[in-house]
Amino acid sequence: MEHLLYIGALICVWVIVSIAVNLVIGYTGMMAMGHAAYLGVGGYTAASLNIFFGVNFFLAMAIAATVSAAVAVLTLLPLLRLSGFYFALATLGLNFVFFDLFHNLAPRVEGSEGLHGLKLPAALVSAEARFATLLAITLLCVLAAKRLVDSPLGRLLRAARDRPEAVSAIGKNPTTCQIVVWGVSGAMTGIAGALYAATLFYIDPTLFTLSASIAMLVFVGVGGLASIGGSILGPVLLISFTESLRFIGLPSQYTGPVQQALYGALLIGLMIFRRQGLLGKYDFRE
Amino acid sequence: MTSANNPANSPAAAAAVPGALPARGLHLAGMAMRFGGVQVFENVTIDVPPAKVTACIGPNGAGKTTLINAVCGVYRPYAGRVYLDGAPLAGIRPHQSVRHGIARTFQDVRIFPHLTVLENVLSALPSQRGEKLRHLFRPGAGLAAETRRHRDEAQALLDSVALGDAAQRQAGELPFGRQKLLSLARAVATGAPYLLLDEPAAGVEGEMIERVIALIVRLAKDEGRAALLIEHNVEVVREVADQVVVLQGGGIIASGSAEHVLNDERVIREYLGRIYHA
Repeated sequence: MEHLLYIGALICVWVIVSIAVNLVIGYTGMMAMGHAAYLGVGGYTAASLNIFFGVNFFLAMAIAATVSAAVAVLTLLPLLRLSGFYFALATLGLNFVFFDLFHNLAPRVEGSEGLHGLKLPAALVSAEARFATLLAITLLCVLAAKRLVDSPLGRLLRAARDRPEAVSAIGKNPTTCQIVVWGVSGAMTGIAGALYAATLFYIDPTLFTLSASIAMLVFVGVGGLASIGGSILGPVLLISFTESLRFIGLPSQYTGPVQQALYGALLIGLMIFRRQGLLGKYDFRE
Repeated sequence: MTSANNPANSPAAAAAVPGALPARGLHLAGMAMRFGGVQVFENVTIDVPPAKVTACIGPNGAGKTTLINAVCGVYRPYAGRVYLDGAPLAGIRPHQSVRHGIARTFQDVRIFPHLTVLENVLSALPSQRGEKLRHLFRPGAGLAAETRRHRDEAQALLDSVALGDAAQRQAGELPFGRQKLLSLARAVATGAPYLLLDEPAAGVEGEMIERVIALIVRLAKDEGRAALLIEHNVEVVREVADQVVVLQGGGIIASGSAEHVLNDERVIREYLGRIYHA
């Protein structure tokens, strides 16, 4: 049961990340491939404040969200002159830059490669409480994202995704929209990073690499572009599926490769037959 | 109204004697555009007075759309200035032109295809607090009431251009003619008193052309808006334009009332003749 609650908490973390990534890719059309960097910034900020300065974890999480949002916006600004393939490639570079930063400059607990020893509040100590808390925070993130995408701002994001020059022609600044939503996405990813640390009890730079960014793309791609429901479905489906492999008696050394192969096959199938994902409302072809 | 050769209307004269500028209206003074070493046009001076339709006609490649882009800040003109109600309008970026009172449409429509028809118009309404993040999550911001008011406003605008029945359809699914009408409605929704309309009748036929004409006339006569209309369809120009400018070969070759310009021998010989005999 404890393991199931742990998986549930992990799914919550990835649902928040998927929503954050979908806000920029699906709703705004910005091909973000480096959000692992912001996940790491969130995780390291919250864990460092909590472990080394004794800051209450929830306060540390709020600070982590703010720091991640700021880092996200600062890293976006020089990339705004790029678009399409080149923008995607540049965001890919964030993974490598931030991995090196985490690896060489981030604080670590003596004798380890990362951070452990979080002083968690009661709401995050037991597996049951932790799952319930993460579920509540995830629900808040879902509601906040829904509020955003259904608002006039969300409408402008979708308009800017399709015709940025026409958004300018109606007197709205598409670049401002992009910066705002990228900041929101960074903040959400920062929250997820903090909760990731609270779920794993230990973080190190290997958690925030290109693989994590690819996982985010897969969750969003499978769940569906420009769909909050899809952002929930993607991680729920794929993480549940991966974990279920453990229960069918597959030897543990095969679990990883089988999972990778099935993810790959699933992605290829989806891209051929349903590019917008299972619940997606947008297709880059159109 | 306009001249390529009259020294009194030259950009230099306009700049030297600010009083010579019209107190109201959009005034393009001595505009020139170059791309690298290629000159598109030079010394183009046009007045677009309020509540009038000024048509700019000319062959493909004459620089009509480029002129609109230069006015809106998409391109920086090589020379010349834009004056709005007597004040210079310099260095604006494309999204700032509406704030100054100038909205535009595109030749190739560029509606928002994944938004509904209603959302296309809604997106253009100015001063929406729901577009600011700081208002979105503030309780008691009154956004619901504002949203309802804007929806009513957008629906009324769509009804007025006979698109009300399509309000909930995805805009990309509309036939081309109705998309043109939608793009006009979107520009109107900005509330800008000056409209730069880039070939609103191109690719439109029959009843839709009538609707486009009726809308442009209504905007000028009933709402007092000014339009700089770029159009190849001479019948549309004849129906709606109060004055006409002909842009060809890098400059203005004729200007004046629609009646006068459309019967000008040189205009017929060098431009209209080609259309009539095509």
